Amino acid sequence: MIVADRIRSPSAVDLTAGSFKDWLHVNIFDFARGHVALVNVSLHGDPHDPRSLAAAALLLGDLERGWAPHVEVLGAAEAEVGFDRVAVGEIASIALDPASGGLAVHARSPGGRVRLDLAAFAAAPPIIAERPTRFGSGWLAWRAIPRLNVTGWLSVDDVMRPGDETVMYHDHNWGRWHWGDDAGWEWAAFLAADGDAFVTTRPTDRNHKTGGTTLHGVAAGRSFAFEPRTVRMRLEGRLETAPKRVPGALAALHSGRARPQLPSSLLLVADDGYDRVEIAASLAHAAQIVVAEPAQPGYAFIHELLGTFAYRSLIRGVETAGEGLVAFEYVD
Amino acid sequence: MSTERKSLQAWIEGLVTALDDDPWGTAERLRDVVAGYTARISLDDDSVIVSMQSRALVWGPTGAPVDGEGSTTVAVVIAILDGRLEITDAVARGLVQARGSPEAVLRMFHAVELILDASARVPALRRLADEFRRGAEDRAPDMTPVPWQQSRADELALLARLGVGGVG
Repeated sequence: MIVADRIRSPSAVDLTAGSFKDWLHVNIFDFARGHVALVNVSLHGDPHDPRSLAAAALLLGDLERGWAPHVEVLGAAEAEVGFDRVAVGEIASIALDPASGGLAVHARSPGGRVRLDLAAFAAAPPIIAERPTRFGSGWLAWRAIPRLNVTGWLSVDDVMRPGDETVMYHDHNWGRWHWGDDAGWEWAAFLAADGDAFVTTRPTDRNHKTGGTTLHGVAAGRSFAFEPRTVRMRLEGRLETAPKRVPGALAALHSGRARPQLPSSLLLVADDGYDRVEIAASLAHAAQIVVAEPAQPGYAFIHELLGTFAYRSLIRGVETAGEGLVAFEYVD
Repeated sequence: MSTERKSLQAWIEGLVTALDDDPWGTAERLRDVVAGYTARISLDDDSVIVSMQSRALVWGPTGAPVDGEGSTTVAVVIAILDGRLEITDAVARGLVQARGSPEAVLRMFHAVELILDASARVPALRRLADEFRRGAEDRAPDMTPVPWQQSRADELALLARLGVGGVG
């Protein structure tokens, strides 16, 4: 069953509209080339407050060369926000298609190095976690489609390639909190080359000390969900290379965050006594996006990492194993 | 539409005026930080001498004595705004230069931090940044920061002696 999604803009009488957040996010995985692209369009603050912001992020990640990040920040009034779409400046737009459950993604980097014109259709059931989770001073809710098939075109360095050589992950997050709250998260989308997909989330504090980890996904065509008590995720090692950081002005303001401690590997085991998933991932590169609260002083640091992973799963009696690419987020 | 290049004085006036839009008191904090100090600020070949009395900027004559000096280039500012150059690297490589007593230099950097922090909350500051960026494109500057010519060996030796890592 397809349950329609939409942008969750606050009502005119919402007393918490000042801490409104909403974003549409996709990752595009190209297994043959070892590329992971990220497109995100986001809204920050009361849409009726002229200080509120809209941001677009386009990051192209390459297992060998790392990330090429681009972020554009505009006043929220300058973004095109509809019931089912957000477009921010020249960088990116994401539109939901409620009828099909699919979405359309358009993005281009300022120099024209990267251009995406893609449509995607769900290849796995949606993950719906719309019950608000406590997050910082407010709450967070989300939904995701762990794997989508893609059509359209991508162009990187003037080389056109068909979108159907890639697969996509999509999520939609919304809620009420302030960037700079005592909050963070760990999140990863593991997409296997053979069709399985795993999504892990852990809302936490800024020190990454609290919070349970969930694991959702689809393996051997069977969807599953592990509750926090049944999932253990261990982050290990330290990435040696400093992340590329954007936007530059906010990065300059936080020079002390130029070399954050980020993990170089990840081990995840989920076991509820019936189903079981084991994942080991190696993380190669990081980019840091500095986000600001528009109505009060406050910042958060979103680290995007990419890498490879291997896994084994046993879901309702069916074993699978394989390898793929991972997009990992570490936020505080 | 005027195609005349905006002066450094006009950019600074624009930045400081826009701070009044921040309800978190950045304009007052800026005044507290720089009051009683006079600085020479240079961007490429444009240079001004400025102090702040009460809420107003006061422009000094060329050659007037100053407490501190700060200088850089449009290319370096654009590289920092684009995220291609870390501010610490820019300072370490001499692409952003600050001179004066430690107190005066710290106050100059604090003033820059106050403006950067407010830029997240003040739309007028973002518009100024966009205007600056567009103006730089029109002028087609060399966007590749030129390394500082001063030898780095002495600096690295000093940093090593002080036990400061992560450089070089």
